Amino acid sequence: MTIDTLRLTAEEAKGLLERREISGAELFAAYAEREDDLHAYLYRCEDPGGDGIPIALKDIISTKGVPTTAGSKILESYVPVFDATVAARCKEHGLRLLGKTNTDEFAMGSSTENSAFGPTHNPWDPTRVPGGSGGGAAAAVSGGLAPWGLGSDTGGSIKQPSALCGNVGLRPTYGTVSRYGAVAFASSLDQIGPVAKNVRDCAYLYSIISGRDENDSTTVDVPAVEVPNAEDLKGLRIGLPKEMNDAEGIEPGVRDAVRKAIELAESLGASVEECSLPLSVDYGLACYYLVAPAEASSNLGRYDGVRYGLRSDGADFREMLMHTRHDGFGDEPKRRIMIGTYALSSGYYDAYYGKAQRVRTVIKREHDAAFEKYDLIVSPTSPTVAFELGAKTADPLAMYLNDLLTIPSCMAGLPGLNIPCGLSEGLPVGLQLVGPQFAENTLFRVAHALEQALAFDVVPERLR
Amino acid sequence: MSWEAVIGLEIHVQLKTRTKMFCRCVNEFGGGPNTHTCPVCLAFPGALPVANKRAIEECIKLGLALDCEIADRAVFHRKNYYYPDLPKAYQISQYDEPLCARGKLTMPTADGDVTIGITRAHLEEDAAKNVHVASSGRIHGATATLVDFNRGGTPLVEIVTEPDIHDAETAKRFLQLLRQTVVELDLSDAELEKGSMRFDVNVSVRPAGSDELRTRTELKNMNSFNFAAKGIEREIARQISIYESGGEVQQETLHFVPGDEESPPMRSKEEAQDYRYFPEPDLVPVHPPKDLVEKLRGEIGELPGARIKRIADTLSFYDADVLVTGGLDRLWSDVVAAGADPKEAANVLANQFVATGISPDAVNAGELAKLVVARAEIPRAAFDEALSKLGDADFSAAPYLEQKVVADAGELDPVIDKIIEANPAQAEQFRAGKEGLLGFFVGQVMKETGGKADPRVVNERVRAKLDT
Repeated sequence: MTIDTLRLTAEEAKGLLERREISGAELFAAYAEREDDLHAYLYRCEDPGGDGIPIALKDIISTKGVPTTAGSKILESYVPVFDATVAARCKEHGLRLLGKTNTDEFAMGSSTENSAFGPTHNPWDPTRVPGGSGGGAAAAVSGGLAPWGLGSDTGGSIKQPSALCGNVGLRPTYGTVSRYGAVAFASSLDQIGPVAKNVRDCAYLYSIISGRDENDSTTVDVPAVEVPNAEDLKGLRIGLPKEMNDAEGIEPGVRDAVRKAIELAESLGASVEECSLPLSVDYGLACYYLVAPAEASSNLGRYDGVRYGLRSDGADFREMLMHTRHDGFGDEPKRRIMIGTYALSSGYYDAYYGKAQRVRTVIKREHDAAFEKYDLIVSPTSPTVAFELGAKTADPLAMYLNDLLTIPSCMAGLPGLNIPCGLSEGLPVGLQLVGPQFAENTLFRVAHALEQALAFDVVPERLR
Repeated sequence: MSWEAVIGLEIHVQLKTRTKMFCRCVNEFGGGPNTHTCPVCLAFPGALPVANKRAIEECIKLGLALDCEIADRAVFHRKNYYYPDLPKAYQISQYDEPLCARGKLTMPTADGDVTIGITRAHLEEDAAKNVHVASSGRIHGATATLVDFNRGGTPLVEIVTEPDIHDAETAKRFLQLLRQTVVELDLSDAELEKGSMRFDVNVSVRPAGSDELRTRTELKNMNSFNFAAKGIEREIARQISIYESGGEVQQETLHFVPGDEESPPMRSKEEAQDYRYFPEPDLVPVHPPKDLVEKLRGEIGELPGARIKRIADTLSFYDADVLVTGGLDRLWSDVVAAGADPKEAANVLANQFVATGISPDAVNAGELAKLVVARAEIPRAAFDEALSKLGDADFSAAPYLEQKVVADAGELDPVIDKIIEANPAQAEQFRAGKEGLLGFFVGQVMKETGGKADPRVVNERVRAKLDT
């Protein structure tokens, strides 16, 4: 039988395998043999054998014996000797690695154009970006190159590419998924999460990767994951933060698609009310761009040419170190290392990093207060649909504004899920659902009901 | 003008936990280069630290022994700097929320107690070891650097004192007492040669009677207590001479080289690092439970300082100090309890036993007591041999006690006469006033009698004969 990799969900693939309608080898080959004209992958793997569902992993996730570059020249030659906990858990469940997907260098970016190995193209329109930093995984899932994948999200790197590519992406509650083996960007924000064609696959993959890990002290036990079946939203209370739904820069087409999805939620029985998160939106982005670069400046210190990765020549350690980092890092990591080093330097710590961390507490409290009245809050995931390649590369600030709506909940450590809710100018629009800590099951239930009602076709129009 | 030194100490003690501070690698001295390593202590991308619970408990225990307050909440921080032996480019340490703070160590002295304030005792990880490849073995002139990461990630307790010390001798005695405390708590070997105990010294001077704090210098690389004392004395003198010649002391770090007359500077204030401390986001804060702290407190026995005071009631302060800081006082108590004279036992332990290098724990105190009691009646050679055998599991004093010293003048006189006869020149010189030659004759007699003669009697008889 022919396998439609553009449409086949992981759950369906599992059924085909269990009923022996296809072999594991056939399934793997269906993805592996598809041409990667989107440049979704940095590295594609041979079929390791077995009959598990194939999976793509963002090249931030360490895979034993398989190159892991984090999209950076400085790690071009690096092959991990160990599996990230999430990679190991995938293996334990028989999932087979299709390859490592493209990412902005060290996950720093919103378009995957900061990859040292060239950009990924949006499956809906190859002249446009897939979002970032996890553009590779999102493009692979929507472009028929993988049934599902894992990304990493620091300020929107799962949710935003899912929005721009028209699939389902979950950034889980901070601490529910182990970060062990995920190349660190900003430790207090980084989370691994699933990218899938639908909500049930997303929930199933989350159930595989989540839970306490003795190798990551910040992980906790997680409530049992319920793969959703619900079709109505009776009794559900939805809050619409006005700052996130009326923010400057939200495209009219995005606004319309989101409004229709919200009306649909009401028709399914949800009560919808406007609410307000003024501080979270006003200060979220600014504080994020202090906290994340500060932690990054420390996390990226280990790329010193001594033990692995690139080493440039130098007369002594200091010179070798400087040449290595000069040659190995692209502009965006360099920019963030400089910002972060400054924000942590003595005399500035209190004014920058210290204050930004205190603002996070304020953002968390503001969200907590909202969740006393609402089960979840809803907004667009991205203010815009996918933009043209190169449109924002010259203006880092314009690029940073892409994350305006995804960042507040990241700063608060809260789970956020993107589902596609319609098209604008022929491109997918993402709806962001944010819940309180550990409310993943609520997100899955609501997203599943909406998904059924929206009946969004996840296959890019040009590929149908 | 007279000057007063102000001295503060920073001591690092490696804990001998089974595993390293933030990974499961074995924490062991030695091993082939880079054999005790893993993704965490080599700082591979994505590897995360997990704090060693045992190390936290041991740091608390040491904090309690130093009379510190134990924090309800302690936080690990990152201390960022680039160095080949620091693979993450940050050391996980503690900063403004250490595990233990505001303690003190009371040190008995011959003139009463001296109390040294303990600013803090916190937990951190050790760096790896750079091996500078050069013929001299020194940093200066090295041509290449190799890194052995076996030591990287070893749990370290850093103890910082208040600047309460004013002379080199007190600093040295504090370090000795602290070492003994750590060893007795069984937290560390605290062996200076192995680097499992290391210390830095901050020194400044000021006009006596003033309470200002002037510019201080930091002395590093002193791997013995005597070097520490010597380095401090040298640095105090250097600073005084700078002030007296109208100069200013520069803030700098000095590298102590034992043989050299000067300590060459390692780095000056201008090069001082900005470590960009911030809370380690990969670890959660530590909240030591009250009952754990009390349990650990209950495990601490009578501390060395208290024992010195107690023993000094019986012996001199000096003897008590030597016994306790030498780790000999428990054996001494047992030997005394078994019937030996306290002073005699102390002398034997502090002077002769300690030279054998035998562990006090291996000694049967009852048998040693018999030797001490019979010391005067046993030939010197037999006594020495007995001491050297004290470590044997089945040691018995009996065969040595059977050997009797020759104290009978009638037996010794012929030997003495023979020796004097054989050395007429020396005898002449002695009679002319060269008193020191007495020892020569006594030594010859002891040798002739195979060490069995009673030295006191020989002494007496030689003098009597030469004086006639």
